[in-house]
Amino acid sequence: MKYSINKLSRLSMLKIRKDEEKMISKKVSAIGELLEKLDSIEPPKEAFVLAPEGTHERDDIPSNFNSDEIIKIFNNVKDRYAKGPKTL
Amino acid sequence: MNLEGYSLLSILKEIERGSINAEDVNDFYYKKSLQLNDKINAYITLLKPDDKKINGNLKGIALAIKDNISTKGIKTTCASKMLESYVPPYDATAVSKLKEQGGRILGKTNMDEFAMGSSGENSAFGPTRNPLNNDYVTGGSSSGSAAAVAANMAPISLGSDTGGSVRAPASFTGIVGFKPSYGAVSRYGLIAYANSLEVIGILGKYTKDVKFLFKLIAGKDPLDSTSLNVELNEKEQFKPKILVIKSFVELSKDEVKKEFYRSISKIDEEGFEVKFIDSFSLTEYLLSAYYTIACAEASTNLSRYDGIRYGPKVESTGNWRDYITKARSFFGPEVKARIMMGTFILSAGYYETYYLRALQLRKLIRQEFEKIVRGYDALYIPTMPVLPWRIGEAIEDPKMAYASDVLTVLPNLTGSPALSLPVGRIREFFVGGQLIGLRGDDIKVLKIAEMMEEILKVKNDGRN
Repeated sequence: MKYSINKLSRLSMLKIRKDEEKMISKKVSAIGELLEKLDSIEPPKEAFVLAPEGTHERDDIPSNFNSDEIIKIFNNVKDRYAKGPKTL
Repeated sequence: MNLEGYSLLSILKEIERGSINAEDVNDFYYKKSLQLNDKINAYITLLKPDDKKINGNLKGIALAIKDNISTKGIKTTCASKMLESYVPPYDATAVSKLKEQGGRILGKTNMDEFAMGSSGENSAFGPTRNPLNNDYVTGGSSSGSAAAVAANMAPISLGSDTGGSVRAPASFTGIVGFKPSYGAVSRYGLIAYANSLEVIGILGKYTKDVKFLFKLIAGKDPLDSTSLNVELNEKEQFKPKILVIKSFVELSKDEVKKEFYRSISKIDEEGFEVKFIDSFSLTEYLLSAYYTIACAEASTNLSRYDGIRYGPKVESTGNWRDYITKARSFFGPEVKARIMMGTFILSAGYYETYYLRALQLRKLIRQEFEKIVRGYDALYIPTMPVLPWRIGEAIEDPKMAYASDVLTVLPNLTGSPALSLPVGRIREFFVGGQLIGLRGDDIKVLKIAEMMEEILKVKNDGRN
């Protein structure tokens, strides 16, 4: 089973007591059903960012922030990540 | 003195006139809470208000605060065994602002553990019982904050709203619940569950009270980089243009639908411009996007409860993994289920399948919502598709509880302001109607709610 309680509890370092096993299984499978709906959707090209728009311009962005420099540093170290989600 | 049914503003006016004083007001709510708390279970911590004179807009009145909002020197448990003895060393910004304005704390209210739930049953300290009928749920997660106001155990309260946690209990107890725009109220000191969705909200008997308190706590905060200033000035009287999406209304039970449509007829007669459209194309994905994002953020946020940074220290002779697993056993079943699913969603191989897709959906939902609602003052739909259910039913059938969030998650995904107010009555319960505005239109939504309150005259003044 995809949502095996034993596997998921090990993965998230949670111990499930005998008396709560049935209840948690029901909740996990209910959330699992909601996740399945996402299978039919095209994979995204870009992620959502909840940035203020229009009249709500941010005024606290540091003026000397250099994103190119940060990206350059990231490119130098990115191979050190053994595994994990691809965020860039 | 009997303050049942009084609005906060009328109490403040009476204090100003000198006919009553803050000590008597606080004493009334404190005694009422002592008398009813065994039955309702609205408070986890109840405090006897001191009688030191305080100036400011709130004139020393004591308010109820949800137990996931940090209060300096007062236990803040999140209704969890994990934080049973946690005493924050600082106040949340919303609490500091209330104190600066002459507010006091009457108590910390019961809730679903770590704000996860829509019924108020998932608390380590027992379920909150609906003041309208004690065998039924209050709605959650801000269950105690709603019950306290509905049962005259507090004049007004703060809650938090991640997917409807202020509006659902407001609807189930027949009071007003307001979820501000994302960022309009600082989240500093709100114990995190799903950062990109949650916001501190307000529950009161009357919209004018909620608006008054919102103006006191709103505004940009240097301690929360996601906070912003929203327009707080009010427009003169205007004729509201309201949009109704029929497919949302159709998700509700027949008796809820009937009362909801009746409220539309009344506001239409009173000059509101009401337009109907058939559907919102992404309705069937609302819950999937919401639960994917909420569970993913929960698994990350709650990783700090490891018995080292937060949570009780435990005895363990094994390795670090055994220690952390043992320390995390203090979580309740709902929290464990959401952490497990969040960890799964973020794990290698599934991140793109679920999490990124949910983020993309969120973007599309926001775009569609803004496109549809622009040109109107607010969207109007029912708050909850069902009436309160009997305590224990959702534990047997969690799918039912998750599905009941379908009408409340939209504003959390879009960052919009949303308000639930009572618009109809069925037996001892109320039907809640929900106004949703564009992000930043908080005052406009509150103003429309005030106008509707005037027209519909459906109120739970706590004297049922």
